[in-house]
Formats: sequence, structure tokens, C-alpha cells
Amino acid sequence: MASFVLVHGAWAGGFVWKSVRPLLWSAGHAVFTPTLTGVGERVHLGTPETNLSTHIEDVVNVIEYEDLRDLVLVGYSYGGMVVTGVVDRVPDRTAHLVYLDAFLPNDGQSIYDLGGSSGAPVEGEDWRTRRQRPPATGVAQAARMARITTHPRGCFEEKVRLSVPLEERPFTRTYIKAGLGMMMAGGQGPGERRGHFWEAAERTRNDPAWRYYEIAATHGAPFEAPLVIAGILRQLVEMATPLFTPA
Amino acid sequence: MTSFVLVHGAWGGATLWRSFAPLLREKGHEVFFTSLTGLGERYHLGTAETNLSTHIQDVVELIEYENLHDIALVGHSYGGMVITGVADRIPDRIAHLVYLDAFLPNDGQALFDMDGTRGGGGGMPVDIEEGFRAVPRMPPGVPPPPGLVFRGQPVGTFEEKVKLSVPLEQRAFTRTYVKAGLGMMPGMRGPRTDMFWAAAERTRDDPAWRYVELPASHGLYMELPMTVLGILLDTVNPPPPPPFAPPGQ
Repeated sequence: MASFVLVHGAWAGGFVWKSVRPLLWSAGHAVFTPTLTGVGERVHLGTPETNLSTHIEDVVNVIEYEDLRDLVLVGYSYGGMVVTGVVDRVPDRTAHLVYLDAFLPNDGQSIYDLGGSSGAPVEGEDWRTRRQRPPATGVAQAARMARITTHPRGCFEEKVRLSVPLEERPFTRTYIKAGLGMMMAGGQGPGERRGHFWEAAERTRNDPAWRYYEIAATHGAPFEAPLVIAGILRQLVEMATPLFTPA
Repeated sequence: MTSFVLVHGAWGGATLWRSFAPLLREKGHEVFFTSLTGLGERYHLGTAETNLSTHIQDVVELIEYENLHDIALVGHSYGGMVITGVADRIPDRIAHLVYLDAFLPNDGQALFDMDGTRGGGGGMPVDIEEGFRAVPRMPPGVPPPPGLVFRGQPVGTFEEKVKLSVPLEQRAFTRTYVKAGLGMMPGMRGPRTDMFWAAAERTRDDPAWRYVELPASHGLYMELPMTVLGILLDTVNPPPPPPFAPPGQ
């Protein structure tokens, strides 16, 4: 049995893992999907002081209170910022670090530095950002919007600190790129490989210190391809002795 | 429940699927595979006349005798030549076509046209034994890939060109290409020059294809069985449309 800590993206919550969780549970694993302070069902706890450090602390506390070891730490989208900070705090508890179409910052970089969208400021509450998205086009779209909350701006402004480059740590490193781009329906079009996530993909695809996956899904991969994601995650901790041992 | 039909690669045999097939069966699917004529335990049946059509017929017969429909047809390596021909013969029985680091020929291409073997290109040169059996010439000191016994494969299977009456992209089945990102040999990270990268580049940019890339070498279904399993399961059983939008960046 292994422990998985799955960290969601911006404007969202632990609910994004709803389709992935049971696939790991049914294989006998422990799964933790904390919702970060000030978003999702913890939106009422956000303050002007909520920042990236708050979210790193959110996750570190889960790991330490649950006393998790040899864990698989997964960051999705904005969650990549968080897990990068977490793993610098608790490197010895982490066996596998996984980015799922996620920000992969270097020391001293914030989401703003990486060109990520900050969202629009909420009128009268400048410390909150609202997700910028195409206009709603129907009932289904409106239903989707219902669970998207505001997100504290400080999380996007604060730079992450890495005392040691990720590549020098003993845990394994995996990057999973959603090959069909950002948008749910149709993506940004095949062959248009722009933006930070593709830069992270190219960096890790060419680095032997990383395991690179590309999957046939859009940025909504946890919703679209839960079986593939669960397969990749289970592969990290199960069948550690492969059917044959590479020479 | 889906019927999976798995087609092995050059110099392979049915035994290669022995460890992988139970993973699909555990998930409630049925799995069929055979050794292609002249290979594996059917080595003694190979002749100078055995060619790609023979191997296509091997698989078509299997599907028709078992009366399989809505198949997920999976080809590894050379098996890509075979499933391409099978898909052209019985397209209506196939729901999903999956290439695992496999040859993806166009109409009129033989394996020898694609891997450069005869021309001294990127493929593995072969010696011909007994007049028709092609044996790969491995570099000195390099053992054969895991699970393979390099007894000769009838060379006609490499020489015969595949016939596609309709391009794959115009068929009703789904198309998936899974690339082994680390190259041909286990434990080595090769440059992106092996003969399957051309297929990868073609399918990665084509919306008619689902493209997947894994950090494995050519024996990907043996190295990352859980991952390949997840890809196959997602192919045949895609989740319903999401009830709400994902978080943006």
C-alpha cells in the first residue's frame, strides 16, 4: 500500500480528483486530496494574507499529521507550484514527485513569472482573483461554473523557494503532459505547443532525470483520462519489479 | 466487456503476452492472441511463401472463428504492419485500433520500405538463413531484447507491401498511437531516431489520432504494464463528459 497526496489546481478543490480517487482506493492505496485554503469548499477561509506559503503549509500539514512516508506527491496545474514548495520542505518523505500538466517553477519563480494567467481581480476585493473563461453557453456550462471559486492573488504573486534543485533529490520525477492543450473541447489544436506547460514538457522530455508521459487529453485530464492517470500513478508503486528487468 | 486482440512483433510469439493479458482479463475483458505463422511455437510452419498476407490471414481467421466484434486490435512493433492489413480487411469488426511503438504503414509500403533495412538505414540488418528466414544481425555483445528468440522470421513478411483500400483516418474506429519515449533498447535512452518516431510525429499532430508517449523502451507493455493497461482501458471505456470544467491555469 502506498500513500498518494493529490494537489488540485487554481480556482478548484479536492473534488477534481473525484474520478481518480476510487481507482487508487480499489488498488488498496491511501489517497489524500486536500483542498487548499481559500478555494473550493474552503473558500470562506481565504484572506488577503493567503499566499503560496499557506498552500504549501496546507499540504505539509496533511503529510505530517497523517505521518505519511514514501509518498507519491502529485500536483495538477497550479498544484505544481504547491508540490514544488512542499517537496523542498519534506523531501525525505517523498518517494515520487509527479506533475500533471502543471507549473514547474525554478527557485525564485512565481506563476506570474511563468506567464500563467492570474485571473481577473474581483471588484472591491482586489486580493481575490476570478477565473477568466469564455462566456457560459448553456445549462451544463453554468453547472460547471458553480464549483469554480475565486482564488487568493497572493498565491500567484509569491515566488517559490527551492533550496536544492529537484533533480538532485533522491525521489523520482515524472511529468505528464496533456497533449491536447488547454481547452476542454477540442483543445488549442494539435501542433500548437505553446505556453508554460509545453515548456515544462520539453524540458523534462529531454532530461534523463525525468520520466515524461504525454497523454491524449486536454488540460481537463483528471476528468477525461482518470484510468490512464491512475495507471501511471499505480505503476510508480506497484509491480516495482517489472515483468522483465531492463538490462 | 471488450474483446482485445493482441498482435506481437517481429521474432516474437504468443508467449510475449502471457504476463500482460491477465491484467486485461482481471478487468473483465477477453483477450485473444496467436503466434503468427513461422514464429514462436508455429516456427515449423514457416515457408518461403509465408508473407504479410499470411500473418494478416492468421489474425483475420482468429477473429472470424471466435466471431469477435467491436474489437480493440492492438499491434506491437511489426504487429503494426499486421493490424493495418487486418483493419482494411474487416473494418466493421474493429472499434479501436492501437499501435504500441509499431510500424504505421501507408498503402503500398512494406516493412523493408520503412525501416531502411535493405538500404542500410536505421533498421536492423538481417541475414537470410535456409533461403527465407531473416535473422537480425545484432551488434557484437548486444543480447537480443527480452523475450525474443532470434530464430528466423520468414522474409516475405518484411517484403510484402500492405494494401490499404481506404486510409485508416477515414474509418469509423478510434486510432491510438503509443510511443516508447526511450528508444529501442531497454535501459538505454536513445535519440529520437528509431523507426517509429516518424509515426509518432505523424499521429501526434493529427486530430484523427490519440497520441500517447511513455518513458519506456520498445518493450513498453512489459516495462510499464500498468500504464499500458490504463491506456487500453481508457481507449475502450472513456469516461463520460466531465460534469464541470477543470480548473484553469
